[in-house]
Amino acid sequence: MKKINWRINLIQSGKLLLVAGMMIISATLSAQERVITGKVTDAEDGSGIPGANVLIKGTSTGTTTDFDGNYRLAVSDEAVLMFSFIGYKSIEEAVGSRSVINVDLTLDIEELQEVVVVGYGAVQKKDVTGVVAKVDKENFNNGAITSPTELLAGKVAGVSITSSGGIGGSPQVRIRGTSSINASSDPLYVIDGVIIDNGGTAGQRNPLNFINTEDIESITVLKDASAAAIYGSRGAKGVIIINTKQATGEPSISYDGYYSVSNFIGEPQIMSTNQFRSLINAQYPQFAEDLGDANTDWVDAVTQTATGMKHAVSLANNGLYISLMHHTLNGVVRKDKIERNIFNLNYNNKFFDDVVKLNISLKNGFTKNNFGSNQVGAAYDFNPTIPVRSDSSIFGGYYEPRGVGELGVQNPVAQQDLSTNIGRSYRGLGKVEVVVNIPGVDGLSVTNNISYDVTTSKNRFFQPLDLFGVYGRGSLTYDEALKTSLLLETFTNYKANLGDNNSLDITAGYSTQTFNFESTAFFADSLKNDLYTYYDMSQAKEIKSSQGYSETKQESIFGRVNYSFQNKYLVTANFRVDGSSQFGSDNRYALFPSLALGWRVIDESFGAFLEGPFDDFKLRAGYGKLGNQEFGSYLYETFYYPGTNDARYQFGNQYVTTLRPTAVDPGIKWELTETLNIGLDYTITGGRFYGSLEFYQRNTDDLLFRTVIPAGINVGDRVLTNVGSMVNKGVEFELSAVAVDKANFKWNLSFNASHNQNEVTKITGGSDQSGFIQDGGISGDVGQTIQIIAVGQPLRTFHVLEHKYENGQPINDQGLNSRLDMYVDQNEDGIINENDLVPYKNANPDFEFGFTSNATLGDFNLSFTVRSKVGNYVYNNVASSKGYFNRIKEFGPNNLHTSAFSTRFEDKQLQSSYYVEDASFVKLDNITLSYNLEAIKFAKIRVYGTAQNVLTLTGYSGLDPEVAGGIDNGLYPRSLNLIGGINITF
Amino acid sequence: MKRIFIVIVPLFVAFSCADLDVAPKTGTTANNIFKNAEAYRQYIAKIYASLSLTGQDGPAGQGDLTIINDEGFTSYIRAYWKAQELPTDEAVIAWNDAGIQDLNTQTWSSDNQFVRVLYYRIFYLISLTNDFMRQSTEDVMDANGVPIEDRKEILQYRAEARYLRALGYWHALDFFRNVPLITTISGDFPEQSDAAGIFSFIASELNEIEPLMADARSNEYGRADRAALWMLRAKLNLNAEVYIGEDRYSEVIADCNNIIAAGYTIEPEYKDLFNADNHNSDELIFTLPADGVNSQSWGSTTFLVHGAVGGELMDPAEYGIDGGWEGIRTTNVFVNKFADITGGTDVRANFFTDGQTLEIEDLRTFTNGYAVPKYTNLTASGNVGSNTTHVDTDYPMFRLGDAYLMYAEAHLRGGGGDAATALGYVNELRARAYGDATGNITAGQLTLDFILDERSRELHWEATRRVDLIRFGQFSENGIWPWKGGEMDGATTGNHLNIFPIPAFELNANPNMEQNPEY
Repeated sequence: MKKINWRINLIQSGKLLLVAGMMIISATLSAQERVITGKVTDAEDGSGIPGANVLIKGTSTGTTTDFDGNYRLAVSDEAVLMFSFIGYKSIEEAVGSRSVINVDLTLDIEELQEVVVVGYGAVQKKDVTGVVAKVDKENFNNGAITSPTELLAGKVAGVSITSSGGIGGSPQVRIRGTSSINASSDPLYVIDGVIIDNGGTAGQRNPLNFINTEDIESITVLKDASAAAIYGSRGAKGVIIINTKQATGEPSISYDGYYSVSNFIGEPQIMSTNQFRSLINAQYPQFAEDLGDANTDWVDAVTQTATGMKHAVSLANNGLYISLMHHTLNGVVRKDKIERNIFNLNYNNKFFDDVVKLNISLKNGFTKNNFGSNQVGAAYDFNPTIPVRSDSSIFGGYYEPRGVGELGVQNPVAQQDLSTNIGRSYRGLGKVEVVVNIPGVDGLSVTNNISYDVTTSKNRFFQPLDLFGVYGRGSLTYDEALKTSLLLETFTNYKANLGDNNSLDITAGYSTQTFNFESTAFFADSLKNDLYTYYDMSQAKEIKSSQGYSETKQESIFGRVNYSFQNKYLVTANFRVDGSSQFGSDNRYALFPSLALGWRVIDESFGAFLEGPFDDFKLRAGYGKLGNQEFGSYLYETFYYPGTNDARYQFGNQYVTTLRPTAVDPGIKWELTETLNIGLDYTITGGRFYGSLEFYQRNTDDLLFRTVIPAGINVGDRVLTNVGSMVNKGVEFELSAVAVDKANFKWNLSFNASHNQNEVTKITGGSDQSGFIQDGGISGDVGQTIQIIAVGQPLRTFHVLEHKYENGQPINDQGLNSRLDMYVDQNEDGIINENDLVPYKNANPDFEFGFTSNATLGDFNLSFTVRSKVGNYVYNNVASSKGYFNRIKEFGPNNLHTSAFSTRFEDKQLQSSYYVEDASFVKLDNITLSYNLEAIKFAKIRVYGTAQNVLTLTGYSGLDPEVAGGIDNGLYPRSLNLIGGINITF
Repeated sequence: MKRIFIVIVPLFVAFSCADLDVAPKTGTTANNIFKNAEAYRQYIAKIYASLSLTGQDGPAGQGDLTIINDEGFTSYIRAYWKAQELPTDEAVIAWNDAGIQDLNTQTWSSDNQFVRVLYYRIFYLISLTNDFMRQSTEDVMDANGVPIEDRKEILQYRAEARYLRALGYWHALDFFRNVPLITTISGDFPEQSDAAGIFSFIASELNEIEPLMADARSNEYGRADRAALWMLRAKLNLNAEVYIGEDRYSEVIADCNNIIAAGYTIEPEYKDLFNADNHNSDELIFTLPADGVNSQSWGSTTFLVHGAVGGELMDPAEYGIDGGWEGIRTTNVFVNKFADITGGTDVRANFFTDGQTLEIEDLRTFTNGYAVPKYTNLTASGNVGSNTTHVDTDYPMFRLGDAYLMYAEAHLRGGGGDAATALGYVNELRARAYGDATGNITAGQLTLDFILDERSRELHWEATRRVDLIRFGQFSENGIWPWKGGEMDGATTGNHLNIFPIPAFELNANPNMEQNPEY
């Protein structure tokens, strides 16, 4: 308890100023009420607690104690006083007739010993040895958020979350950078203890959309190998553990609802109608006949002001938590909509004198998606002098500049209006868990659980006969998928207190999981009529179908030992042996171990010097080996697949269906990641400041790479094989601060910063690693890429021709015969060609920052999150593919990107370094103002307003600097969202 | 306590060890598909199809190759045709896909994607044949239970697979020279071979399978027979001086004699060799069948018909197609090989000149250079093929007319044969072109220089020009035509360009490979 005493000493001696400030705010007394006085003391040593909060229950009226722990407050007889202080248990006292109320506060062990889930169990935060970050619901991002992971954006160092932009989409989540190239780099998701497969199916936007974000209690991120090793072959990309709410406290019923309005933000960088008209007339008179009389804002025509609405009701009583949610959200792209209905039930209870504990969890999400066609890119192109509609048009009444059978651009509004793309999905996740505390053996428990995860989805796409492009044909597609997974697990846990502050916690278990996936797809072409839209495939003259089925099985044994010696030295060892049917019989099993050490330096006798500023000081070091197996099934086996009927080959009078083998590496195995992490947890000045500092290096070997193989050695040009290596190195820093903690004014701040450096270290099986692999396809030309994967470079490095500049402008090609004048001839061979491409910048940020502020003043609360990335570059493919004058000649009278007027490029310069722009940014992601309605006594009511995507500061010239992958091309239009909502809790 | 064990025990029993042998339920593995001749037929059809189609889904989808993003570019014949024609005086292309202009100007590098796709496409064909050989041994057929009565047919397919492998190696030898000789599927890095090694492999394979191939003109349409083998061997030997410095012209004469004796006849109308029902022609020895409905791709003849059409004045419907791709035209050097460019005298001068300029000021403008609508999607009687996007025109890989000219050339180069016969063959082709004997030449006019020009007039755009120019020493160090060497009026180039560089992808993937000289 030495530490706690120290804390009080520090507070008593060090916070005079603060207390003085608080006393100024101390209650203004009102005449008709009595004044209560008293002293708040530490229950253990009786010393006064300065700065403790004294609040009249159900109001925001209150005061704080002075330097000696004394307070004064005006109250009425019926009032109940609440006494609280950081690190202590709060207590309530009814005033009654008393005029002096003294209270003793006792240390809140639970708060100090906050519990963190680490997979197959939980540990006290002070004993954590791996890199584990937990975000509670109070700290989630606000707003019209569909994806659970977006709740975390900007909150955890080293966890980078990039919104997909579209409604209900899957944000890209990367924990400590990208760890794989061809297998998935998405983290493993564990929901209420169930490992889920997060691959999508047709008709869904984000497989996690079946979760009601209101149900989430906390999200925990396991960042390093020592933490994630318990998940072995699936943990290499980090683990995100989502825990949902349980009925633990008093019975309650609550309602959450909001209404949102979204508007497209950003100015389209295209010529106005008048500019367009005069450019065509002056420079391209051959196209003057294509000019119409209209003035159409095509971007406006394909976007909309979008509304959204959410109603969520939950009930918690006696171990049972039930929630229902209805959510609809429209996109700023017309016809884009997501509608979700979610039912969730969590039940927990104890039986037989607490010997048996039962946990049941059932989650059910029904989602309907209307996939509005994102025609914003096409709208950029479209001739603004022609109208949207034309009465005489045979194309459903929409004006089309070309006739039947002609190639060319299509009216983007007609594309949106006439075609239909609907998805429907259901996902259910259920778990029954029985925990048995073995009687007679203290600390020994056995947990068994059975879980299922089922997704069924459909996607239907229809194009009518009168749509230009498929005119007279029409088409419909019908996709169906069924995914199931069954997980059986048993594990035993033994916790023992060995005395002298030594403790032991052992977990060991067995797990087996089966994943099945079935899909059926039909593509029906050339419809006889389209009366029944996508409901009548029998109208098709030609139907292509395909079916898929895969099954994978996994079995594992796993274990963990936590040993705490004198509460100072902590050892955690994890292991998991995974067996997977995804590999050939020689590579089926692998061991993934980890070891982590923690040292609470502050508790050493020689650590006393730290006690000046520090409250806690713990050093950690962890090392572990993890795997990644997120790729397809049966990749070790060569299959012979038949071709379609239109790819047959003629022998004599017969068209023979062809049979093609797949090129595989029969020895394919897990990708392996080794991580070394050195970290520090600290708490300063009585818990007012706390955080962590981490250094890590993560080496990924046996990277699965669909690598180009020596030609001719296998039946393909590439084979997926374990050849590559990559390193991620980084630093992470987190700092949270309780800036102000007064009765009427609380202000919490948290800041995180991270730096990750990625480098590819091996890409081919050959000894020559000087080559590179083209990556990052762009639009503007067929088969063009702008990035490379090369040894010595980070992933997503751009590969460009270095543009020469004159007076700050890139030299253009007007009147130039030679590209030598525009670009640097790197190899000095007198020709500018692909040999002059050089690696140049990359899309990964050097630094990422997150900052959250949460301030409560009386009944008002204001919170906001600011996020920043520095040093990330983006290739502006919108400008490069649309910003040159000959585009008008090549494609007819299309609108141009306005960059053409500054660059004056005649021809497209797709490979120019000019288009690689610094996309560093600072974003005010969301800001929320809420107010507690105190006037209503029977319920807690909170009303709030949130603005999302409020402000972006950047030098990037495109619409949004935050582009996953670094190639800005056809982004979903970004929107400013305004949300007004209410929470009511009974 | 008892109740607790009631809970625990069944759960532990349920957790018995999982069986990780999960057999796939879709897709078929080798041992469960190669059970009869039909499966081998489908596999050999794939190997043939890999010469013209690009993947398992027509016209594009499930592409065979992924080293280049546009599946249409991966067509064997499309890549082959570009490499044989664009660097020569017969053709230029207007497009601007990365690296394609370098084919016009002979300025390619080892990173050129068209060179890369050519190399990998050739070796893809070779690897399929190697796998076919592995899956059709007697041991495998015994293990799979292939009926004895099916095996004769399968042995025939094996011979054709070896023929197609030899064909692929001839292309590899001709384009890249120093390639590895690979005859198995393996994870090992292959060793680089050289011209002598590849040449002798092809020659010995052809000799070995000669008796195993179907008799000339006896096989199913679309499949190779012994005459196709003779054509391949004649072409290999005709260029043997280039490849290995050996005079093998007498072998050329022998094979041409075999072909000519087999009963093929010169097609009466020149244009009917390149139209939508050219499968009826008796002159064609080996073709790659195309069909607008059943055999679709964006390569092969679909490229040749569409790619040659463009400009304001060319009407795609005139050629049986739905639109032009505005790509390939020709240079004035080729046009000037005809005294009368209207086609009125020599029908082979089939140019479209309206709206086109003779001179090429801008390689990238389709209307610069005369168009050459040699291939069409119209039948002999003028009807449109089955589909206006994907043409029915079969690609003429080998034809009798070429054998005639090879005979004449081999004779002139000292391979024996008969002078009068040679002259007769040349004049038979010219008589077809002129409609009568007015274009016939005399024995004195039949020179090697004449042969080079006549081959261009007769066989232009049939993917033999580059080989011919190299054989006559006119491809790089000699010979001038517009845009050769990157200059509008043309310039000579280095003779290292007679072969292409080994693609950088291959060099990176295989530590045993060395780049060709001077690249």
